[in-house]
Amino acid sequence: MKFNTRAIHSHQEPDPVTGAVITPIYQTSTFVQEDAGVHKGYDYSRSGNPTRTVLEGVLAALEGGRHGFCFASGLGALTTLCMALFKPGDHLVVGDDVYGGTFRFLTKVYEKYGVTVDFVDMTDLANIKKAIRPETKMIYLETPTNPLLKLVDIDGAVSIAKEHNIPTCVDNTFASPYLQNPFDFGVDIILHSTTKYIGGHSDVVGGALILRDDTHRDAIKFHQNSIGATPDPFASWLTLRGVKTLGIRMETHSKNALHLARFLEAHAGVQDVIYPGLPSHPQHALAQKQMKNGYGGMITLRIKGGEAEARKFLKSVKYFALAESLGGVESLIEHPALMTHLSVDRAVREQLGITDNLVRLSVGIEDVEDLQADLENALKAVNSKALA
Amino acid sequence: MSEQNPDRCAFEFSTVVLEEPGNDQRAVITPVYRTSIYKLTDVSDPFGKGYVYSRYGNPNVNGLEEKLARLEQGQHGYCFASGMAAITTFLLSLLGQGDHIICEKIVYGGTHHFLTRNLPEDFGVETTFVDLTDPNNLRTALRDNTKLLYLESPTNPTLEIVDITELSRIAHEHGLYVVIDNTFASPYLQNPIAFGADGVIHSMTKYIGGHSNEIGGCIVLKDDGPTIKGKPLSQRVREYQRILGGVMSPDTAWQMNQSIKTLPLRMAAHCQNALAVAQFLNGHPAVSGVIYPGLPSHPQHELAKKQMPKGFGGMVTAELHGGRPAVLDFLNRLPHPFSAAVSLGGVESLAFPAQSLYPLERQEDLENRGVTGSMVRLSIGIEAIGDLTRVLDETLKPLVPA
Repeated sequence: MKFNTRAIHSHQEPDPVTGAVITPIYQTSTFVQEDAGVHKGYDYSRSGNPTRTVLEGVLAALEGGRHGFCFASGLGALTTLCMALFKPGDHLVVGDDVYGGTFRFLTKVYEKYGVTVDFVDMTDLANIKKAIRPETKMIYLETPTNPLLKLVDIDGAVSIAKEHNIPTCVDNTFASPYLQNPFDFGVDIILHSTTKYIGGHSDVVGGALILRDDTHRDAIKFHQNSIGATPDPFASWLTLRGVKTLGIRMETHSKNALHLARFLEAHAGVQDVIYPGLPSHPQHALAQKQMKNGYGGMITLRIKGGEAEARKFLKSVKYFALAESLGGVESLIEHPALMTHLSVDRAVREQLGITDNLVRLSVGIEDVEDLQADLENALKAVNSKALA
Repeated sequence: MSEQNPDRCAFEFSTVVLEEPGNDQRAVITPVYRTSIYKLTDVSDPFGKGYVYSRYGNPNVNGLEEKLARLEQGQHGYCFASGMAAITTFLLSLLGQGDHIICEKIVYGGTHHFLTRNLPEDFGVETTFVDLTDPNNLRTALRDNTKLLYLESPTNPTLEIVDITELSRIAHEHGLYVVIDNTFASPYLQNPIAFGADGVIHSMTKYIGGHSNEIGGCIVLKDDGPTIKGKPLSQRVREYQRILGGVMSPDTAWQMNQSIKTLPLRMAAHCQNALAVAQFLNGHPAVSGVIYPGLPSHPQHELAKKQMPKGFGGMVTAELHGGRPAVLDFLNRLPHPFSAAVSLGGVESLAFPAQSLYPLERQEDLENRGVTGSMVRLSIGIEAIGDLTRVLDETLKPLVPA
């Protein structure tokens, strides 16, 4: 089965009891047992729930992995992964501009438990090599990164990890399984915030871990249940609904974003545009290799001016809602320095390039003409104020 | 709204579907207002304006009604618990004892049942069924008491196309109200009000809902409409919606609003896949005929291009050489990703024997209306097209005549 068929049918055979074409919402906390300890695979909905099982199966199928595990949020997936695999004294090599929440957990929470982390610029693979120590237990990366849309050569990172016999984990949230399958490059674990493209309708919060093989299955399963950051059945069901249109949504997100990136790049009010689909992106060739079906719906741009101009821009758009998160059908706009990456120290932000005139767009599936007109009007508003 | 411009609507469609009408909160997505009652601030006129009781109005339902009205280029929208609730509420709002309807010769089974049994027996309203692919047949069926022209296009399950503009013109000359069940096309592919219809009905269960997970219906009216017993039709429909009580739940309205957001993408994918399936079946040795408005061989293909400028929908009807036994054998063996199931318009592909859609009708009557035993109705989903044609081919192979 190809991608769009898998999204709709994998693990989603009609209900054997009633014939229901759509997976039921098993909104139950507990399951009756035939005898003490004898049941049909489900005893309590934190340990396992039939609606969640279907979602876990279809996500594994979309990434080409063997096992899927779902969580109440993307961070629930991350924290469970860390607690399942690492212990005090371990060391991780992590990309230097990972999602703010990931950065906050690893620096402000996890370091108290004796795990150390080096954040490195992974666009240069030599930085990964240099950071590895005998106690390094994982290479953890995002590509494209958030919010600077830098790419990491997954193939190259995995080669380094293999030399040291350590696993690689990719947060594949920005690309989605439709655009990029890290397992193709030998990655061991894929993490998703399913809140974003996979759910796609901005109406559910969730996360997932997908495993390539059996190596970490028991550890993740044990910790998923022990830590308890599991999604409720209705959240699993809403995510399943979203998955069915993932392919057609990603096609439109990518098409709209490429169109707007070209438009913004040519606009006099814009200082620079970062989008992996533009030839001006320093890793455009790598994007062509790693992202087989398009370059995603995220665009980062710096408008001419500083924080005041950026704020004016945010206020002047009509269809782009000022909100965190991304990947929904509706377009969103945000200011990383003031919003998603506020938890990152200013000095670190500036070193990374998260400047005060940096704006991140999550391009939705609206008519692209409407979106372009909206951005054009907002840039005009910024400009007229600058002149006044 | 008198100046209708389909192109203008097409440009904004994908943006309008994403709007969150009825949302005055900070959340990007409108909350589900799962409440039956509302605290009143002024009891001197409790039913004057604002929300009172959720059968009368609910933020999720009313927001969805406004959105549907915009998408169908009408002024008033009304949502219901099912397509049949929409159809029956509309007919009872407009018609009374002694009135007469002219209807297409074959329409959805539930509608057909209500028009042939319930309306004449319980309400004294009669219906004449005629072949409206020739608009002149409308004139010959007219009576002094004819009040309504009831259309579907494409029709179910024969996928005939009727000329909405011409039929509306003739109907209006004679003071008829023109309503069309636009379920098969969806508001993305066809806006009948732009072509002259007065009202549009949808089973929202199908393409509008699109995920086979909700039951619902709606009516959109172009304007206030004719005055009936002292009240404009638009007001009577609201009154009958509340009195008959077949209202949509807040949960369903919320779910529908979420589903509508991908309607343009889904319809584009349905159209692309259905055309490919129709072309594939057209040359298949086990298939004796294919009906799809997008095929040049379809008798109303030119009209379909005019009325459905963005695509021809996701429904394909095929006739098999082996007749009804072949159809039943084919459907019993047809594997995933197809399911043998009624309904249509979801992301997953479905198939069903066309005659079995009318369990209460005699086979002879169905044959006379063009619904043959050799017909299988396919609702083509948005799966990868290669997976669909592969299983169709494998299942048809044993049915190729020697």
